[in-house]
Amino acid sequence: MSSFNTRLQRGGMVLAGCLALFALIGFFWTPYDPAAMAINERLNAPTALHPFGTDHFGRDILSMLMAGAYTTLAVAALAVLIGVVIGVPLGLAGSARKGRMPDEAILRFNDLVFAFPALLTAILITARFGPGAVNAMIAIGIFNIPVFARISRAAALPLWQQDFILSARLAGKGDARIALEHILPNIVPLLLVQIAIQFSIAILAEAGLAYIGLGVQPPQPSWGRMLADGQTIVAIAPHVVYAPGLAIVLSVLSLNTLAEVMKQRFGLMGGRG
Amino acid sequence: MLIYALRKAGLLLLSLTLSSLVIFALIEVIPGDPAQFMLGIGAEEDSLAALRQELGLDQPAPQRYLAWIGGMLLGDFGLSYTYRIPVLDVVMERLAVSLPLAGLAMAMVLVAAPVIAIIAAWRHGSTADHVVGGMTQIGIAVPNFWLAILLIHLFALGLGWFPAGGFSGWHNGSGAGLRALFLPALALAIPQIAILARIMREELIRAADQDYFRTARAKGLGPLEALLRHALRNALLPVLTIAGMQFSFLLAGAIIVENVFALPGLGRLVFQAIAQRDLIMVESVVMLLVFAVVVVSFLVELAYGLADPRVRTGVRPPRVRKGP
Amino acid sequence: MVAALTLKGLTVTIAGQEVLAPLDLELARGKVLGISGESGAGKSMTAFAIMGLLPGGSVRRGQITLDGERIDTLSDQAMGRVRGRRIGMVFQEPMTALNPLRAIGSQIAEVFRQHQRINRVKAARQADAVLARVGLGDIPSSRLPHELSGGQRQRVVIAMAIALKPGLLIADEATTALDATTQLEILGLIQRLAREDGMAVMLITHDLGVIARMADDIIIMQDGKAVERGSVAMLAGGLTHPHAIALAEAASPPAHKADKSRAKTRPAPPLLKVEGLHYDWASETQSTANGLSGGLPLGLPRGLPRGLRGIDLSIGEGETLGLVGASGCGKTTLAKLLLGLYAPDGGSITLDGENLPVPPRGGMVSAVFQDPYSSFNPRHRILRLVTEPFHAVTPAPSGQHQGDAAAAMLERVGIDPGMMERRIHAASGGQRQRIAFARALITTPRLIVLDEPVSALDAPIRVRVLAAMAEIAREAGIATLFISHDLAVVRSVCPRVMVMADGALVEDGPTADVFANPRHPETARLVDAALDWRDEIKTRLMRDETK
Repeated sequence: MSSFNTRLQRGGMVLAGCLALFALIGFFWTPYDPAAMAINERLNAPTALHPFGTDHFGRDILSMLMAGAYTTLAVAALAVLIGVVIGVPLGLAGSARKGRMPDEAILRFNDLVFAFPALLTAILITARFGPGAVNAMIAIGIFNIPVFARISRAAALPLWQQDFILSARLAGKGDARIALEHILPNIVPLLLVQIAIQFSIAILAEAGLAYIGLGVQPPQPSWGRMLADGQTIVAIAPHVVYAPGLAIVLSVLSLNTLAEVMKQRFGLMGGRG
Repeated sequence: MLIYALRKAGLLLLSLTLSSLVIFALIEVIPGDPAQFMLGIGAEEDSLAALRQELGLDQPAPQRYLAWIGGMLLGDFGLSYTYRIPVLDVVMERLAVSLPLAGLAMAMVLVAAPVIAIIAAWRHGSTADHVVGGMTQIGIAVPNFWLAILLIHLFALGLGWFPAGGFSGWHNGSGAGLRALFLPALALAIPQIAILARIMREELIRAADQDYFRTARAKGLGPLEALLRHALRNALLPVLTIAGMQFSFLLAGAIIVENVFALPGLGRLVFQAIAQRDLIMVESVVMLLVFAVVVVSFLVELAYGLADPRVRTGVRPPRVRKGP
Repeated sequence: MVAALTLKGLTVTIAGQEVLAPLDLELARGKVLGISGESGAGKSMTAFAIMGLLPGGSVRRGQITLDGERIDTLSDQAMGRVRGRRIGMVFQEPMTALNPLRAIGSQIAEVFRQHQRINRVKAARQADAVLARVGLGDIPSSRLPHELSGGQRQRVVIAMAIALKPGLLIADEATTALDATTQLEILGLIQRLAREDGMAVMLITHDLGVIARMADDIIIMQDGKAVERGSVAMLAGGLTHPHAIALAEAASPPAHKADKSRAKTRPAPPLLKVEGLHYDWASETQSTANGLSGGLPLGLPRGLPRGLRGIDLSIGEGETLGLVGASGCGKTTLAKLLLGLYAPDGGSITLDGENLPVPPRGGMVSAVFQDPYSSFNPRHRILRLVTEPFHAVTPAPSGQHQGDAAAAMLERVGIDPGMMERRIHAASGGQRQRIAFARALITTPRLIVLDEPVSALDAPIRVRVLAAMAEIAREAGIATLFISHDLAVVRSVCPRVMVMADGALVEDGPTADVFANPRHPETARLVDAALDWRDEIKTRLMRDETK
């Protein structure tokens, strides 16, 4: 059982590494120009020249995937960063003064943002400012703020009750200093796990937004966009939707496995064992 | 309980007011001319003026906000700029698709997830548990629109069991309607089933690690009996919160999936409204969706209060401390 | 007569390691067997092995015979018919042993429904009868666990265990989490029920006082082995195994011998003076407030004092003063006030004639807290943990000086200074409390508040750590306020003691006098409820002789 898990985890880690490498290479070099159309090469099935085939404009799918990986990962990473940078300090500030200001205000703010799923925020933003990668990133980022505020608050609350906080107070340390020296280091493992999870959710959200046309705009390549283009011709050339879909699944899967691995390493597993 | 409910109702009102302010501010107050945006760069000056008049842009913002909210409370959601008919009429027509779709998907989630979770928790650590773990992990990772495309490819185009998209309305009999909604609901439900089953399994295993579960076993209850009678309800509490949040995911997911299947639902309406820059429509429909999300989470909290007596009396569960 | 329970060569192995060495025992109906030992000695493992409820991955071997019938060979399903019907079990934590979401009546009725084919109404009626039997006749069976006190909850757990009049009752640390008075009541209840039903009782506890009061026979375990066994009377001089002797000595340490030459002739000048101190619970809940209730401490049981009122006390230079009282009487709140962690609502606290700073400053008062596991930030190195109090000192000493001081203090409390670069998880419970003491000493304070500093430790370690702390404080001339619920421990280190009840100090005087001749009813209650095995054995032997 444990060896099964270990193998699974190792697989996930390798996968995550490959994905990052894939995106990195795609940023500097792709086998073909991902935007180059070649009408006589349309809808080629996978061959040695085009390992994943070509789409209805004759573009090389592998090159598009590599270039798209960079876009997707960059948007997702920045969206998570927005959530961490704003959410974690809010959560810590709330936990230090549970039930009083500013905790109450932060809780209400959380409720408010939770009322807007990322997609609705994206719709509002794009409805007013037009679609684009930056707007998609902001929309997903806003959705991540309460997620991190909530989890850091929940993780910090029991820590404030620990006796080592009393010791720190005896040494004359104030709330802010204690939050920084004693609370934050102890919630870092939990935050890392959450970052991996939110990263994977952000990839899904980015792909979804790009798919309905509210995210990255053509000609910039993107996985979600490729699926939208391929959808109408799935009956004649299914390979055009297999590759980008699998790319999304594998990246989400590898990040979730990474989260599981960290959970176990840091001893954050619930239940027995 | 009454005080608890009233307090939650107060927070519900606060949330609704704040969200309506945010939506209003984003659409109408932020610098930039909404009329110009709706009509595009090349618009004639007199049609711009007419639209500004229609939107009431000559009035101060607070007054416009109150008129908007007041109108919605009375059922007047404004006039769609594209269709030139009341927004409410369009919305009602679309709800006849979106509500059954969300309901069907939610039903799939609420039936499948607990069954999967109970089996996995009961056989904790077995092959069945590992299989469930792997399947749910994949289920979470699959984007619902890709799943939708694959389902169409397989069951509609390949096997021909279900229509590939479109919706001909309920007047052709509910059977045809449900058939048209089945694949979209499945595409929406599968990732949520995976999420809920995973969380519920973990909660069940956590509950089965509690002292009171051991007490139940010492009374002579078998492992499955003890799980169903002493872990299930306790595990349902956190699950309730997740299920409430899933409703909003389903709602958001429906916007995408309705587009894959070309279903004339609320999601597709919003999407079209954005493409047509019909801000009046966007503003009101987004408010409606937010209203649904907030009300559902309010109902979940009420249910939480009913299910857990400790919540409504304000007594926190005791913190477990290991003795010497 | 057939023994209620017979074990022959019972062993448990987890992952190839033997955690329970071959154990034989025989327990007759109507008899009480006490099993004692330090934590991890295999006491609870024995109970779970008998119940067939060992954690997954453990292997059980040997014979278990219940009323003449082998039960070790039964399937888990067949064991289900034995558990609850023929063996009842009571667990340690009354707060968590009951399902928080179900009424107590239905949880008891479940036992009847499980083992007898009867309908809901009948089961409910029988549950009510059992509730009455355990002394909860006036509590509605519709109550939820959180609406009951700890003692009442434990009565409910006992009600479930004895509902079907099993031949064997296993009580695993059943009274450990309760305060002394409630413990006495629950022990009395178990005794009465066992007598009425002719039950055999297996009493598992680390507390020899409980065993001396209740048990007929005794087994003392160490590292999974029974190292001492026999009649309970052997506690009075018949123990042979060194570990058993050490355990017994530690559980009842000799009383403190007042140092007459110094204490009597010249009373120490007062160091800390507290006059007319008032403190409201409400102020405390504001600072640790709970978001839901936002004001009153709804989580606290009803009937608690509203706060501290009219506290007057003084501690002399270098004096060791004890403070005892039932749980919830306000001891810890007083400690936090003396440390400057809470601001008083009225009255004054002066140290050396100057008002105590709130929040704390200068490192003149320090503390050791109860829980060795939550007293240290697990992410910091021991060096950083021990030198943290220097933050309160201005100007802050240099890093070099701080490191030297930490090494010296660790050495002094008996910890290898080489541990400084490691994190706290490398230290055992006893080592942690020594490190906590080093941290308290490092700013050379005038007063150290010790809030139950050893109650989380096993008896032999408890005595050693306590002796080390007392000696260092005396040598350094640091006054200590020693807070404890354990009278034996207080008696062994404190020449003077104060008694607290319902937020007020009710007695103050030389420890021996106060405990021997209590003047306040609360003191008398504490003294009566404290189970010291020497006293218990003496009483029982005397009673046996008169028979």
